[in-house]
Amino acid sequence: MTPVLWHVVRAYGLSSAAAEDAVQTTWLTLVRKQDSIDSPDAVMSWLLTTVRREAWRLSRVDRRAVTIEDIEARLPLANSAEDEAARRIESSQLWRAVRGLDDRCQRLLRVVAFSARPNYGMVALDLDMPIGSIGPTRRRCLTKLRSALGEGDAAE
Amino acid sequence: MTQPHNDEELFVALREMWSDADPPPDGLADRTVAEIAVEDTERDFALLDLLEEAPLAEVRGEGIRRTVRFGDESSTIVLHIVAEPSGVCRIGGWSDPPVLAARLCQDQGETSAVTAPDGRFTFDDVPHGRSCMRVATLEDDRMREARTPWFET
Repeated sequence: MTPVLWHVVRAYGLSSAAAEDAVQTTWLTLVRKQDSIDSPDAVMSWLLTTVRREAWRLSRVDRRAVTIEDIEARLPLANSAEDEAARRIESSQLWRAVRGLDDRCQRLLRVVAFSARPNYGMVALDLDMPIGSIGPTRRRCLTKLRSALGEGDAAE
Repeated sequence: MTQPHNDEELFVALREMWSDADPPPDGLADRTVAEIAVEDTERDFALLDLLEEAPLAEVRGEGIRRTVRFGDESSTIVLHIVAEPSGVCRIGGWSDPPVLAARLCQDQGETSAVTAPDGRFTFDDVPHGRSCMRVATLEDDRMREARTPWFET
């Protein structure tokens, strides 16, 4: 569950240090408040809600926001010749396509990708969008992404 | 790249991409478990021994400093306690094996340490008074919780 929480808070653009704080605070809060959670099934939803609140709070004070370059530096090169690289090269191509999307699409897709059942109410609050527009926006973002991937293929 | 056929395949590819590009930091899960461990005062902490307490010393540029060393057969913790002009202390130290998480307990409350992978840690703005530390370390992939005896800051 920790990787899922990590990717959700990073979608807010928090720095690595702030994201780590948010994840740790969320788990600590779960331990402190475990008696207030009604059922084990509710734990995942509770964790996601809490980590979003923590990320939102920290995003107001964190001045060490992650940069595109921070992430890009960790991506393998697209022209890597290593045998194992095929999937990573695809990831790199996908990354270029994702990077071409606007910030809202990038955040929305990342949150949805790591949430089994995304809470659209919470996502709407996060992205400052009406809840009714989350579904259409998600579809539009996916369409743009497919289009960018298609253009990438055509260019190669 | 091979175009994912449907939304689910595309989200799988996106998950893989972000997992490659921006994975959680190494040890985050261990550090989180350690933070939870050192917060739990009902846990059974191994009590470390006071091994050495150096006399107060004037250190140029730092002020009055005292060094205290705790340990047992498997852990060593060294603390440098510096009295600052503002009336509080700064505690810097290191441990072997490196602490994953540390807490300073005082009568007026508790504080989490800022830790580094090499075993260094710091507590800033520590009030004077009776203190002890609870730490969690990783030894041979096993978490170990220990605490120091009370000492004066």
